[in-house]
Amino acid sequence: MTDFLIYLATMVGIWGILSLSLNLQYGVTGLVNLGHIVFFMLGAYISTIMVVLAGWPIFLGMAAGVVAAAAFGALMALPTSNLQQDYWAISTLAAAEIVRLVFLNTQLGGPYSGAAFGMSGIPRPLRAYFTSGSYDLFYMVMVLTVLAICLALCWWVLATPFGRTIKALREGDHVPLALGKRIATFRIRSMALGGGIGGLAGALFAHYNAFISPQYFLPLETFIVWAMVILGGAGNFVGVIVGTVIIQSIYNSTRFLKDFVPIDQALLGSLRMILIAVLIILVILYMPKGLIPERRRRYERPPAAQG
Amino acid sequence: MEREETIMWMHKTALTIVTGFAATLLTASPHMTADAQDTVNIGMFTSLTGPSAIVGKDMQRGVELAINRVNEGYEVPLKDGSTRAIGPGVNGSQIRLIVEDSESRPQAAMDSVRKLVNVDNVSVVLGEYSSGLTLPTGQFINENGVVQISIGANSPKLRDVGPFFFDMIGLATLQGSAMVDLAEQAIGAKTFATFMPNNPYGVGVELAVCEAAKERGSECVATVRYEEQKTDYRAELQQANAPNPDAVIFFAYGAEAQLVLRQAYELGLNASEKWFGTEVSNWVNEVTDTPEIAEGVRGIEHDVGGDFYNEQYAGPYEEAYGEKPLTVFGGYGYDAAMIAALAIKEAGSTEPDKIREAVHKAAETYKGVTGDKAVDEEGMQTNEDYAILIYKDGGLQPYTP
Repeated sequence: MTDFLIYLATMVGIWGILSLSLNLQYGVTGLVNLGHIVFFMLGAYISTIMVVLAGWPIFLGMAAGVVAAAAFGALMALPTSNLQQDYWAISTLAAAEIVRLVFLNTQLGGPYSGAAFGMSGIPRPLRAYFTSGSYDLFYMVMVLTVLAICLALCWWVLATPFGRTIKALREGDHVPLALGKRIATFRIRSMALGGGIGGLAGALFAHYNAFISPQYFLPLETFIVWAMVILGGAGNFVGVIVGTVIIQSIYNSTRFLKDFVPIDQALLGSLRMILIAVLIILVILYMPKGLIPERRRRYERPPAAQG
Repeated sequence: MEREETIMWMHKTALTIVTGFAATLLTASPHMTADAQDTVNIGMFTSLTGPSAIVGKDMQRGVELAINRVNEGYEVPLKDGSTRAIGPGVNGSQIRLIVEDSESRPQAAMDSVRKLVNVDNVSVVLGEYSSGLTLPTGQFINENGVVQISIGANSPKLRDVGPFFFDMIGLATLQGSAMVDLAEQAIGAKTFATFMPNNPYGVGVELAVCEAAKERGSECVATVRYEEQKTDYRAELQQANAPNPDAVIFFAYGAEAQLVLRQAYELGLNASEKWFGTEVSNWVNEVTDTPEIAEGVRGIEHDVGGDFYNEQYAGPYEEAYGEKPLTVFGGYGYDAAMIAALAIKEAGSTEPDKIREAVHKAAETYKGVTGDKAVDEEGMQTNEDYAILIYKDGGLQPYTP
């Protein structure tokens, strides 16, 4: 059981990093990115290619994954940074699918490697120093540490002038424009930063799972990240991590339900989907800002209640 | 005010849900360990939701049928005509089958396999149908030294998974040569085009067909890998037809095959002469309303049927579930579970190394409802029987080239 909980915590950590990066783009900057999984995919694939095919050390490969994802974030924003919200959203969805199709059709290594087969046997960092039992524990600690660092980074970014500007950008173009800021530049930088963090999550995933294939990066996965962000509270970094924990728990704890209640496994699978959908609908209806809403900065105290 | 109360209520409800799940997870732990002592656990992961749900359910039924027989005691038929008594149960305990839903998604498949291996401490894992789900999970299961018997996956890459991995169905490489032989005998084909879904199965068959063609001095002139779930395949069809191949080797799933065949028919690609399908029974129900689009299409299917199959499997299946077997794959599930049970009995313990050795032996002597189940040193099927069929008069009929 402990091993399974360690695995769950690791997955929560990895998905948590990914939802932090979406929160930076959507929750903070207001960029509706429907192709967010592309950063996860690039981080995973580029790191794997560098380590498995080019023979780079694992941590250097991971760094390459992060850089590639950040660069792609910027690249994605370059031609589209002046688009309005809905058009922007469509272009991100398309960009993610294009990258997935490229990997789906590119043979990497032998005839049964890359393309639809995916890449297997991806090496795990520092594996030789641990027994198989303690390795998962090590990886969990590593992932959760990275999650904490990313969380700190996000908070720090919000406190900088850059952070305040992208937050203003979310509320509309007028305020940053009035302050003489170039909107396009800030969008590009926000996409690059979010992309880099998403790429880090992908690289961590690839070297943990030891296998990746295009099937892991279908558009559906983007919507799971979205569910985490919306449920937890867009704009609040702790909120999105709580959202990640809840979605992952629902996915996995329902597996144990059938050990207590005589319920058909097939029915349970469908019930799980309904549960997540109902939860999101309830949250949108009654708590549109999520379970832990963003804390708004108050510039003045509200007027004292009149007696 | 009212709204705030609602929000408070929601907060509380959310908190209750989260605590509830946490509690479930925690209480699950002692429950599992208590159970593990008096039963032998066999795990199965299969798609009960998502695109492969029908096959997944059929496989689950096949496995259940075998496990129930073992738990009640059964005379298992062997290849030499004798039988081997097994049960009730194995090694003095009942077998507990734990089925997990893989949702036809690799991430969910990994979740379910982790639970089976780490929480339920299963001795053997059975499944899956999709190669895309079997490869990553197989790697994990094998690394943990647990025996896995895959039921329906057949990507050639499965050969590399590892020593604890076994397969109950012939790999795509065997299908490749069967297809080339069929097209050669039927119409003397020398140039081939492949029209396959861009997934591990489709690409696996494509590579196998082209390899087999090359060995026989023929060649592949077009290899089309199409994206699944599109609404129009005319461009891909014309691409496959462009170099004017003697034969087109194709595969498509259910409703998609109906679309592909209809569009090929509309484009006048002469499917009845030139088209040869793999696993043709998977679209036979989908073309009943428009039989003309598939008329004359030839192909292969896993050779599952006959008296032994009906008496051992299909009959009892219908008795238990009130309908005929949903697909051919349930039978492979039955064989996988039976071999797993025989191997655990033979090993006399749940030690993975002993079970692994015993699977090799059990597969050698066991008479499968889906044919000969012997495996090679790497745990892959040495042989697979294919039935050669033609779609005629609204159904599949035996065909002799």
